[in-house]
Amino acid sequence: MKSYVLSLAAKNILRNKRRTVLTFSMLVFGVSFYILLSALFEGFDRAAFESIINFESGHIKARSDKYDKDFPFDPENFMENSSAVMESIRKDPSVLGVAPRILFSAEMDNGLDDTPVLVTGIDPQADDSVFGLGEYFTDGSFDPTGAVVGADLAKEMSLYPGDPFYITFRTKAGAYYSLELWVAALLKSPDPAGNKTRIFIDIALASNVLGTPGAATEIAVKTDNLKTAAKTAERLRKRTSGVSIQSWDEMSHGFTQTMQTKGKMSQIILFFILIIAMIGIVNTVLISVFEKRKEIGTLKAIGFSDSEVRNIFVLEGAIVGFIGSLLGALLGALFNAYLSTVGLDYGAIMEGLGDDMGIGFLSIVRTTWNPEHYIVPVTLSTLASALAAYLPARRAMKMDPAEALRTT
Amino acid sequence: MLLEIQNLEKIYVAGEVRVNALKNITLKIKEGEFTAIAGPSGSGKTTLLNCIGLLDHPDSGQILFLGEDIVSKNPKEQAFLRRQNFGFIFQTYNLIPVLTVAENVEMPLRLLPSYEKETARQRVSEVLTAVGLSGFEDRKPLEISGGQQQRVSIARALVKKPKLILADEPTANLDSKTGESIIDLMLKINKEEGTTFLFSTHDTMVMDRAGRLILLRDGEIHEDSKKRKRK
Repeated sequence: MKSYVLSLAAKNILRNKRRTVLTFSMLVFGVSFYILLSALFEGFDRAAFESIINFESGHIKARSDKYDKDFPFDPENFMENSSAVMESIRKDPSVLGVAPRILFSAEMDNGLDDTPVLVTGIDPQADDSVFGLGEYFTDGSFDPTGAVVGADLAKEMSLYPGDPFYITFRTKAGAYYSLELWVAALLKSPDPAGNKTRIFIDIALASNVLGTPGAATEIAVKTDNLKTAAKTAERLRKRTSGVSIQSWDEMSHGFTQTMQTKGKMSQIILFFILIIAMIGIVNTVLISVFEKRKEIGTLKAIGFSDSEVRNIFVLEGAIVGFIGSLLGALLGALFNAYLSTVGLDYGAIMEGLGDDMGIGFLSIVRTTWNPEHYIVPVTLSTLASALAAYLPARRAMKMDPAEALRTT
Repeated sequence: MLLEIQNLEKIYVAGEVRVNALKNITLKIKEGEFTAIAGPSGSGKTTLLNCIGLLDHPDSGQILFLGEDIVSKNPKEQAFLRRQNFGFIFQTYNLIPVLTVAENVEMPLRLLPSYEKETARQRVSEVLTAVGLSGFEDRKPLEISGGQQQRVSIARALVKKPKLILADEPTANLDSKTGESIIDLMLKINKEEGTTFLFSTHDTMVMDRAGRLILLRDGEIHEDSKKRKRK
């Protein structure tokens, strides 16, 4: 009997094709839009994570246990025993690369203007074993006597490869120090912050001028598996003392909160899609009930119970919701297939605007494939449609058969 | 006794106007009767049929079907009673347009707990042959004539072998020749299968063919000629 009620409901949706197509269209548009947006958000998140890991954090980062996150570039944050720490870290079998870095803030001066910059002292070879920064050096190459300057920063300061400039900073002892450098290369990376604010110099030069020989602000680590970095960090914590060791996911707590905010945005969009779908379904089923009053009377005369009559209309709504959202999921998958392979050139889009809109990277964003993005809207649309159909279906159920049969 | 109606009253209220659609109706219908309910428009024919078929609720009185009071049953029990024992034929046929002729006729069988596909298919074929519509199984209602649609409606009412068929003006929308053929068909079924027919009409030709004629006027039984001979 249940299957018969279902087949009657299915036949009903073909009765007014134009109306059904209109309701389908709303669902198809809404669900495909949701899928695309969710996949794009997830793609943005993944690209942003990759950017952080590739340019900022590495898989694991070790810092002095006295590290003050409110003053991250203060020379007081230096790890004095960095060589011993690196040696200890290298012993872990999961560790593929270790790179010491010295970070400090300075004023950059081209003789006309000055601007605050973040200076990073690197060991180019060691750095390449953790970060892929070297491949973004353009118009020159790393030189221990010069500096690699962020391309946007260079542009702002009207500096070109070979041009001299100064940086002024405070040494560990508190004295002000000015260092003359020259532009050895430019950095054009997908990390907009790096391009705008950073200069890279040799770590030996940095520790020499800061008066911190053998010290490092942080030690970045690359492991053989990004997903198990937290476990490796845990092992490294046991192996070392006097240092604070965190994996990328432990460090990016704030960023995951941003991701959750984006997730909530998707949920809000889904909520509005469901509201639109429900309005469409209520309208469709309400008109359907109104048009079929005589049939409702006939069905009751033949012996359909009130609940069976109601179920025909509830199922009619659910079928419309299911098929509509399924078609939407298929369309969303088609769009996604394109954007997950070809991608969206976010860098090119933002180039004209001159801003990254706070996203934190400038690369090609590829959408993701996540079954949840398909299962959730299809399931919720079907349930919401059945729910929306319930009220008009109840009206059909309560209809007096004699009165229904009197309608023309 | 198949049906016993005692002191049946039905009042319609529209604003401040009260209309006594049925007044103190008492009658008995035996199994196998072929009874016409006649009377002018507004005399209460359809209301009486609807009350007997449990499509409308009388304000007072009793309807006993096979000795059991059916008015006091709950809606679910009434629906079950309709699906098991009553067949309905409507003036406007009331076929489901999205279903084929065979699917329309099969519908009452699908509601029975004893439904079995092959047996149902055979029974549908049997009744469609009986109403002269063999070969029309796959047509949709709108693809056949009014007379043919009413035959489908009769087949649908007949298919589950109900104890009582209630027909509301079954020939009113048909021309006289087609109307007569419909009455012939109903009589044939009544004779061959012993199915009890209770139908309303204001067509004198149809009244003449009925074995019993109940004449209603202003909601009351004006005349009950039980011993009419069928022509």
